[in-house]
Amino acid sequence: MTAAYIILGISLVAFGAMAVTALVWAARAGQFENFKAGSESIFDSGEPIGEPTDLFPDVDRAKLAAVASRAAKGAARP
Amino acid sequence: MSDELRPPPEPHELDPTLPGVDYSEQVNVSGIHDAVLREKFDPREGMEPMPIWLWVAVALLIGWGGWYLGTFSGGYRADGFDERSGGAFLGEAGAAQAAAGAAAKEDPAVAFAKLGKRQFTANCQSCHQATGLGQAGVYPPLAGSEWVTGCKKRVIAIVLKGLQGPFKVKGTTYNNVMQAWEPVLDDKKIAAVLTFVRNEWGNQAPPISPEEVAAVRAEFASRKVAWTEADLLAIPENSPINIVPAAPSPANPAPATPAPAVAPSAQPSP
Amino acid sequence: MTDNTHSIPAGAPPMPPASDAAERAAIDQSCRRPVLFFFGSALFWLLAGTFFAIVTSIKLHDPEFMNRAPLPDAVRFQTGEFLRANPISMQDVGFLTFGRFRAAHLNSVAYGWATSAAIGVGVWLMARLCRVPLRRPSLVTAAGVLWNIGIAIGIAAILAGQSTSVEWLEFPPYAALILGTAYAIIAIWAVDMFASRKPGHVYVTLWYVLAAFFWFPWLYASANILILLKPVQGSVQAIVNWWFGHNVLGLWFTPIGIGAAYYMIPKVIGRPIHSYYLSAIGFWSLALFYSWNGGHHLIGGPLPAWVITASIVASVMMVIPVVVTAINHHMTTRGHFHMLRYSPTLRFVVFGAMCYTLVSLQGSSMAIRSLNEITHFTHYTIGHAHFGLYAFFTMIMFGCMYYIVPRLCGCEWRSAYLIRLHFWTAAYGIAAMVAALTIGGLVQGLMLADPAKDFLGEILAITKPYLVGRSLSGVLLSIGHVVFAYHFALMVLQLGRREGGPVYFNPVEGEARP
Repeated sequence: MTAAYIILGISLVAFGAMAVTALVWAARAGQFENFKAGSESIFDSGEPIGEPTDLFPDVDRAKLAAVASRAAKGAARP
Repeated sequence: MSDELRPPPEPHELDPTLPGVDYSEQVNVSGIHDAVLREKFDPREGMEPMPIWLWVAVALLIGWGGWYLGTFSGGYRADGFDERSGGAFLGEAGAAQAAAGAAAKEDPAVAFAKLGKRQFTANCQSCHQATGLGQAGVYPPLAGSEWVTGCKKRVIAIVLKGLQGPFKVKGTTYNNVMQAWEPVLDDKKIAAVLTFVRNEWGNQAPPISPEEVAAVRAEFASRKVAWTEADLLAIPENSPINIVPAAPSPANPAPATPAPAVAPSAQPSP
Repeated sequence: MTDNTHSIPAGAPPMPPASDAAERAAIDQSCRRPVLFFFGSALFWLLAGTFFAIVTSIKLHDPEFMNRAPLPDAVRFQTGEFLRANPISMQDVGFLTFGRFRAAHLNSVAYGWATSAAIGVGVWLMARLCRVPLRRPSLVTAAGVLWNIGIAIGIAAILAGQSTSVEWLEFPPYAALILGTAYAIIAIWAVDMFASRKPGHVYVTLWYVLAAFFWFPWLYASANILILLKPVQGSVQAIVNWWFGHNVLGLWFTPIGIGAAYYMIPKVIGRPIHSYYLSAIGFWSLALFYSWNGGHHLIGGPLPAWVITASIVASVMMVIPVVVTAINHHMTTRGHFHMLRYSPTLRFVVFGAMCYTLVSLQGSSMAIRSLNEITHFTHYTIGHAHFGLYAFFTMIMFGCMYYIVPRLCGCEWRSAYLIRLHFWTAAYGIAAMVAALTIGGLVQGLMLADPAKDFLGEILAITKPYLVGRSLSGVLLSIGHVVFAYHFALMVLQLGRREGGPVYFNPVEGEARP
């Protein structure tokens, strides 16, 4: 019973400390700087921009390209 | 990964004949189309700040949270169970309740009435309903029932042993099972609940005392099955109940014999 | 899982990363066996859980369904009396009773389906984001085998009547121990994987996935110790129970789900996330607030008022990470919504991400006392649970599988029709289920709050059509599951399309198609 409370207390303190450590580490390691690079880090240099990487197996790519360029124009208008 | 726009892919990277190449991400885009897309692409910063309205919303939320914590925390006491008490704790509230209870105890009639109502709510209401009207075709009514307001001995006997088979109440025949309450409720509780149903929903009949229940319990002690209508009618109407004077003390009236399982043997045919 | 020679060469020596694409291919290939194993077993438990669910749901409005002895009318809803009257027949068909089937449903979908799928997706995401091939893939597969053994033993134990009766922890301790061991292997593996990543930014998805891999064993071990192995006192058990029950959703499924969305949405569209800054705020505020939420399940319970009030406040504070995430996902997708028509992954993931916003805001509102008094102990809460675990989490997992499986199998999904059928049955099914349970639950809650209403006669009668509707929507979902499992099996058996590699990336093939 008492042992359970001790485990509970230790685990709460330990996990709080770990969260703080992780936050401090992230700040020191520069994870909160240069957000642009961070957001692009999932793309490799060889990947083109704005090109879908997943499609239904029956999609006509020519039609899709037309739709995409229309959408891009529409987004650019306002 | 650089801050600049990425350079166009080298031709060798697009070679679909390379073994081990992930074709799925292999991209052969016409250069013109790529260039068009790239032109339209506004480089994002990845640093879009939080919109101002969101900051305001966060501030309001935190303010609300502080107010709510302060108002509904029962004074942060380990024994503060009522979030609205704000500072009156169970300890104090409990003491006040206990005092009120003590005051109520001074009038045994009131306590008896309350006991009856409580027993009814706990045990009877699920079938006979709070209205005492029962459920049409399934559970007979208690309100206005000739059995409830009639012969004392019969109504006590019903509650003690339960019922089975066709049973006529207020001109309607019900075919169902009522459980025996003999092993569950003591004499005082049965008396209280019977007194309650005999004087609720417009019913008017003399009260029933724990001693009377004890006497009927003793009289039918050998009966192990529920009543049928015919068996019940065999008890002469308004036959006297012979109260054995002072034999079982009313404070401890329930015979402690382990009651045999009074499982209703007959299933009602639906 | 067959080793097939004419897909991505399975037995080929590891290629030097001549290009990013080759590197990605090597990473995907290293994930192939463990991730497909987790996905396959997840789908098996999804089908099993769906079967349990349908039977459970039908029993709610038709208690005689799959019961040997018909229940007498008068005692239909009074199990106690029924037990006394039929002591033998209930034991005979014990494993078919509602109490066991419901627990079997919950555990097979929560641990068998959702958790297995989450581990599979998480393992793949970690390899992709650490940019290294999977380390010790056979260890991950072994953990997967152990995990499935644990689930199978646990479900069998529940059906045999050995459930612990603690919600979300019904598995008896011996099954829980196997599960805990399997999971601990995954957690240690995840730390190892993270430590060996390539330097650079730790993308927000990796934060979520790593944290989830870390949080879940902590939750699971603490809850099992404090409730089953070394039980704490009564009312403390209740709060431990709900701390765990809610955090399985909040600190395990939610981070995997929105972490996956943070990867899939930008990746499919080919544009970076709207604001990386917002995503950091979202992650840290979720970590701060979510683990407090469980107490709102105990409103009105015998716990100090401040414990519950703190829970309510934290639940409402969850609006912050939710709105932040919603803005981020929405702004990333904005201008690309037409892509939903063309990408199965994006369609499922965006559906799930939108439902995440809705279900979280609903959850925050349900934590508030005045609404909780109406909705608690009604079908409304069940609707909320399915909204979260299905419309949000399961849909995102489906989306991720549509993205990951072709890359592991080296062939393309065979039929666009089957994908669309899966999506629409799932979307309409879950929408109908949530609607039925939410409306039915509100009606039920309002009537229960009125003491003049008759429980047997009025309230049960009114809720019954909603329960029938729920069963029907469940049939719709089952169709989707069977379709998807069939489609997945085709992929694993290498029966997908393979003309010149995945067609959707080959413009010539795509245009040649009529």
